[in-house]
Amino acid sequence: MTLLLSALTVGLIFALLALGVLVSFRIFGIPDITTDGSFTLGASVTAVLCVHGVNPILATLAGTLAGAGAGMLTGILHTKFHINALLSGILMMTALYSVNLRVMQKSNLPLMQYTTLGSWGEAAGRRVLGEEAFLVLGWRVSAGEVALFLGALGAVTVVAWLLYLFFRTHVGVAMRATGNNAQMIRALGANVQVYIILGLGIANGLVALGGSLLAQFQGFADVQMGIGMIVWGLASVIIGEALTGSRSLGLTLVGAAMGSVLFRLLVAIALRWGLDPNDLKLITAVFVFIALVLPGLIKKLRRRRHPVIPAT
Amino acid sequence: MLHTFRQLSIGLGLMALCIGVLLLSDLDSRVRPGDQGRRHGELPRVAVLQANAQWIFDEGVAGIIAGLAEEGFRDKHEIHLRKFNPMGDSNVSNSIAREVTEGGYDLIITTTTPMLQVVANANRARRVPQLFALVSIPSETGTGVSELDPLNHPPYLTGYGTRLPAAQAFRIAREINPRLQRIGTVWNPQEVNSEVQIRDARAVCKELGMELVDATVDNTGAVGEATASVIARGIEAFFIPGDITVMPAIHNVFQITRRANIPTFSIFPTDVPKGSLFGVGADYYEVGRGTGRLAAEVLRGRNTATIPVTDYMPEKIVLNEEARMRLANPQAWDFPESLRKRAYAIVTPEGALNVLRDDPAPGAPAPTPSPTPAPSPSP
Repeated sequence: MTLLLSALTVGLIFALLALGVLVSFRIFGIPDITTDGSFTLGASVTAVLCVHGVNPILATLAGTLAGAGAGMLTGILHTKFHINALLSGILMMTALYSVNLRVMQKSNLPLMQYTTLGSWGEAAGRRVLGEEAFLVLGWRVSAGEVALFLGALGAVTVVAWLLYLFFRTHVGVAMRATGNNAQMIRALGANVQVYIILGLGIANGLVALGGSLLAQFQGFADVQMGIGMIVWGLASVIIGEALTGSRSLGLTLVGAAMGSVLFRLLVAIALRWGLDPNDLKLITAVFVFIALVLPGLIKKLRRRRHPVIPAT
Repeated sequence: MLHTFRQLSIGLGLMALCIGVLLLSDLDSRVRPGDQGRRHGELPRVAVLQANAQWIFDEGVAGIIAGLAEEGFRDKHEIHLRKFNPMGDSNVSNSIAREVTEGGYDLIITTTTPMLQVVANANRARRVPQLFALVSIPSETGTGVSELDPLNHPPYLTGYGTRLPAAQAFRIAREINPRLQRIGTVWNPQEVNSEVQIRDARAVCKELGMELVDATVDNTGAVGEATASVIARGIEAFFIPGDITVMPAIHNVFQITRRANIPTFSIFPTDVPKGSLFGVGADYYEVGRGTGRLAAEVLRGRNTATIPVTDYMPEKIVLNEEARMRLANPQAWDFPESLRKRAYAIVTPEGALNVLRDDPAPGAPAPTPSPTPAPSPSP
């Protein structure tokens, strides 16, 4: 049960990363490698501030803003200095390696003894429920873990909702259009460069928020924790798209979050079944493959059963 | 609305399916009324965790299993042993940590610092007995282990610290060549262990009046270039640290240093026959064995709160005559007799490994105080 709760919680935290990648990859069409660095940046800034006794909410906010700043810098490199988008991301990620080390002063910063959103959540859970743990259908469930899960769920819901609202405002629609057809938007008199800079800022802010929350959930920030994050973000986005089969704004947002949670659940199952640890990565790859192929198969089967007659 | 729901249905269905499968697989970890821990007749369950598939960790884990077996705790006979390895993925480590702290295990043995941290964090509420090994400095892991008082640690958490012997390696290098002044190295600042080694190395260099010339790398591909740059800055010997980024490029390092006629030394004795002048390191299999024996004590009922956190560094020195003879000035690097006596093995000028001693661990396992009070002298 705890494994399930933790898989769901981590899946939700990673959903923030997936939402960030969704913004850069799907809306602007840029596979933004800054992600690997800004994920760690969010974690390291938050961790350092928590160690210095700053309020965890402020620390989380600072981590998010730092990530957004990094993303905007990537945008500036890309738009103002005309560096290829992929290269700008690589440049920024490389620079962030050193920045993260500077921020943390060392490669690994434990948070277990400090006040974080994680420790707050656990304490709140115990206070509300009045006890350490309770039984659900016979499983022993810790109040703190339920609180963290609900907190993560709340955070993702709020963030996804805000994103949805934002991308329906004038600026948001113009941003989406920038990704689709920059020339048209330029012809309409909008400043495309500003939109790209802002968009990458939002994307990396979300990624950094994910990193910040993960560090607080797992009790330490590590300078290597961001490596490969862009891949998992992309995988979640693509799984989400395959699952919903839609490119409408709301559904892609929900799909990306769902893809991320589903992915963690599959890893949890592989662990629970005690599969050989050396095969873990192979099994995850097979799972992702199935998740990608299954929706298409189901659709094909449906179509075969109820053939659609094209309207003339 | 209905349309939206239909489009989400596959995803929701898959998620429900996964949750169902996960809960079904977890049925036996439910608490039964009146259940007090393990059911009668069931074997104790032990989880052994390593962070990555690296030979050092593999050796440590093999040692743990051997140590347990020596004490009469064999897998599937006296205990149920399960190995976990997240393959360096910190998010999988989180899931594993929850699984072992919640999965009804009687003892968790973690190797490496990140595994210690992630499990200790998950274990705060559950307090399953946890032993750690292959950790450089336990007091710096933030898990509540005190630097000064070995008995001041969380009651369910104890183990062995094994400091990587970078300082010893530098001392031995100076012992071999008393005129040694400048030593070069390449390391990755993102790794805690490298950071600790370089800190130690700097301190010992300062103490002995030597100078450390270093370059940092963030990926294995850059190691060769960095090595060449350090050599260009003028060094007399090269130190290969225990660094996960540098180690895979070790052959490249040997090639470049050999061309420049510069001897190398490392903290991994196993790598010496490949081309190092000497290596001094911990015998990780031995560390694992010691941990396995300690685990056996805990399984027999010893309280982890009474076990002090101690340093355990079974030292193993391997010297390489072949590499020495290949140098332009082999006499400057002659191994002193006192060092030869301490060596575990020597690679002969012909390249054969000559093991001098059977016991690799002159330090002997750190003695742990007996759990039971000393028997009173009988009349």
